Amino acid sequence: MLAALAAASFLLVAPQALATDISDVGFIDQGAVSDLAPFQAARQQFTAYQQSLSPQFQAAIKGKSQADQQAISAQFNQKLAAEQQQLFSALFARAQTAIAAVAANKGLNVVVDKSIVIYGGMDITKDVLDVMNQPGPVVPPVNSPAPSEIGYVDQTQLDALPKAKSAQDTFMQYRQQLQSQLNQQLAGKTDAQKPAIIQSFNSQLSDEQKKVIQPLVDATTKAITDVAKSKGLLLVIDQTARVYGGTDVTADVVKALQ
Amino acid sequence: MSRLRAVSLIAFALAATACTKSSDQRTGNVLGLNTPGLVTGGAAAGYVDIDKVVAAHPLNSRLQALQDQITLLNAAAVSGPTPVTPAQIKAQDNLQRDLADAQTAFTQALADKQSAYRVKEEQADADISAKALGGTAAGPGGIVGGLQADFQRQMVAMQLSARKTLDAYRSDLYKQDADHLKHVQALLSQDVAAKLRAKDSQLSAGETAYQIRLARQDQDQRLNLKAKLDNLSLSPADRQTYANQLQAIESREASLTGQMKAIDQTTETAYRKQIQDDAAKRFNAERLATEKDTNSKLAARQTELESSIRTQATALGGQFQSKLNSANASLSGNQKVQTQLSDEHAKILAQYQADADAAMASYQATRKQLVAKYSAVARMQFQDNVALSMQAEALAQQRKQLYDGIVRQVQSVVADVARRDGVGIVFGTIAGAGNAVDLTDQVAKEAAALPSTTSQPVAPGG
Repeated sequence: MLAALAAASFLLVAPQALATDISDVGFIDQGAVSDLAPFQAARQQFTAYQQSLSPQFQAAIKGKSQADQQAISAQFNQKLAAEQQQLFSALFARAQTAIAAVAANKGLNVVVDKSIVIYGGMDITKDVLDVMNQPGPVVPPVNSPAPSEIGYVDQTQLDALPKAKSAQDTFMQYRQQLQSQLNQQLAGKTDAQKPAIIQSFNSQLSDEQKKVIQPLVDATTKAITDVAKSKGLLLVIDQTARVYGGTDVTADVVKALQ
Repeated sequence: MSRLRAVSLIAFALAATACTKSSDQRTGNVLGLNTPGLVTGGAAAGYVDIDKVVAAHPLNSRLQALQDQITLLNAAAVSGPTPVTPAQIKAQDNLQRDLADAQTAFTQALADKQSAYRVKEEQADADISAKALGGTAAGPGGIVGGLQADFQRQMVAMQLSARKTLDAYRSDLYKQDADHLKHVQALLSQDVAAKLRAKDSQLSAGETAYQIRLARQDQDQRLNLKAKLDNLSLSPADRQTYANQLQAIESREASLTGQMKAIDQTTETAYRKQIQDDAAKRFNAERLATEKDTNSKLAARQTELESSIRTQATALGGQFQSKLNSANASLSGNQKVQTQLSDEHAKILAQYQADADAAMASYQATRKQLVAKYSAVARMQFQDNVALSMQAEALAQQRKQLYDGIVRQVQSVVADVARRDGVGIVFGTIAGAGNAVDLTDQVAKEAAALPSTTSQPVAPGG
C-alpha cells in the first residue's frame, strides 16, 4: 500500500524533478560575433551610406514645413532600414544558423547572451566563431531544439499593455515636471546648496516610482513567476537575452496580467 | 535522454522514501540541503538580483555620488545664464559659432587620425602576415588584397580575351554579310535592268508595227493625193486643198503614234516601279534572313564563350579561396604571428590614444578660451554646455568602470556561493523565477562585507 502511494506521489511530482536539467544551457558573447570582419565591413558600409545620405537629407528638408520634414525623414529612414536589411540580414541568418548548429552539436536546448550569466553554463562563443569563419554556407541542424526549462518573455508586449503604458506615461510626465522644477531650483544656487536639492529630487523621483511603477513591476514579476512555476520552468528571462531555443511564455503572462 | 532517465530513477527513489510532502521540501530534506530547489550538486539553476547586490556593496555610496554629480551637471547644462542685452546675445551667437567650428575641426581631426592609424595598423598587420607567409612586405591591400588583386587581374585578362575573340568573330560575320548582300544587290540590279530592256524592246516593236499599220491604211489616199499634186496644171486652190488633205493624213498618223507612245511610257513606268519594288522586297527578305542567321551565330558564340569563362572563373575562384584558406590557416595557427599582431595592435592603439588625448585636451582648452573670451566681451559668464556634457560623460565613464568593478567582485562572490550550494548556473538578470534558487540575499550579505576596492574580471563558467 505504501509502495503504491509512493508511486502515485512520484507521478504527481515527477515533471518538476525531471525538469531540473541545466546541462542544456549555453551562452554566447554576441559582441564577439558582431566583431567579426564581415560584420565590421557591413557596419562600415552602412556608416558610409548614412554619411552619403546626410547631405541629401539636409538639402531635402531645407525650408520645408515641419510636417514635410517629418515625411522626408521617414523616407530617408526607410532607405536606411532597407540598406541595413540588405547589409545585415544574410550575416544575421548565418550567425543564427551557426549558433543553432553548434547548440545542436553540443546538445544544448537553449542559448542565452553571455551578459546575463554570472556563473556556470557552457560558453559556445569560440565554437560559433569557428563555424562562422569557415568558408561556404553553414549547414543548419536537422532538429529544432527540445522544450527547455528556461523560459523567455517579450517585455515589449508587456510594456504595451494598457495598464503598463498608462503607468509609464504618468511617471514620465511626473519626471519631466520634476526635472523642470529642479532646473529652476538649481539656478543661482551655490555648489554647497546644490547636493541637497539633488537629493530631494532623487528622493521624490524614487517615491513616485514606488507609487506608480513598482506595483506594476511586482504584478508582472508575480505573473511571470506563477507562469514559470505552473510550467515547471527554472526561470524566465527577457527575450532580448535569449539567443536560441527556450520556451516562450509571453502569451501566458499577457493572459495572466489582463 | 539516458541522463533524464537516471534523474527520474533518483527522483523516484526519493519520492518513494518520503511521499507526503511537496517536491521542493521533500528533495531538500532528503539531500540535507537548506536551499530549496536544489536537486544534486551543481545541477540546480540560481539567480541573483544584481541591483540589490550592488546596492549592498560598500562602494555603492560612491556609485550614487557619481550619479548625483552627473545629474547635477545635466541640470546645470539646462539652467545656465541667459543673455539679455543685444551685445550679450551677439556675443553668445559668436561664441556658439566659434564653438561649433572648433567642434567640427576637432571631429574632423579625430576622424583623420582614426583613419590614418587604421591604415597604419592594416599595413603593419599585412606586413607581418606577408613575412610569415614567406614574402617580403605586403601591398596596400595586405595578403588578402594581394590574392584578390591576382584573382582580379586573371579574371580581367580572361574577360578581355573573350571579348576580343567575340569582337573578331562579329567583325568577320559582318564582313561576310556585307559582301553577300552586295552580291545579292548586284544580281537584283542586273535582273531589273534585263527586264526593263526586254520591256522597252517589246514596246518599241509594238510602236513600229502600229506606225506601219497606219501608213498602210493611208497608203492609197496618200499616193492618190501625191499624184494629184504632181499635176502641173492644177489650180492653186485645188493644190492647196490636196496639200491640206495630205497634211491632215500626216498629222493624224503622228497624233495616233504619239498617243500610243504615251501609253507605252506609262506602262513602262509602272512596270519599272513594280520590278524595282519586287527587287527591294527580295533584297530586304535576304537582308533580314542574313541578319537573323548572323545574330544566331553571334548568340551561340557568346553563350559558348560565357560558359567557357564561367568554367575558368570557377576554377580561378577555387584557387583563390584555396590560397586564402591556406594563408588564413597558416596565420591563425601561428602563435608567433598572433602575438606580433596583438602587440602591434596594442602599440598602435596606445599611440592613437595618446594622440587623441592630446587632441582632446587641446580642443577642451580651445573651448575654455572661447568661453572666457566671449564672457569678457559680453560682461557675463557664459556656460559651455558641451563641456558640461563632456564632464558628465567622463563621470559616467568613471561610474561605469566602478560599476563594472563592483560587478566583477559580485561575480566572484556568486561563484563561491554557487559552488558551495551546488548551483551549476547563475543568472544575473531574469524576468521571473520558477524553480531556480534565489541567491540574492546570500550574495548581498557577502558582498556587503567586501573590501572597498575592485578586482579583475571573472569569466562566466566559474
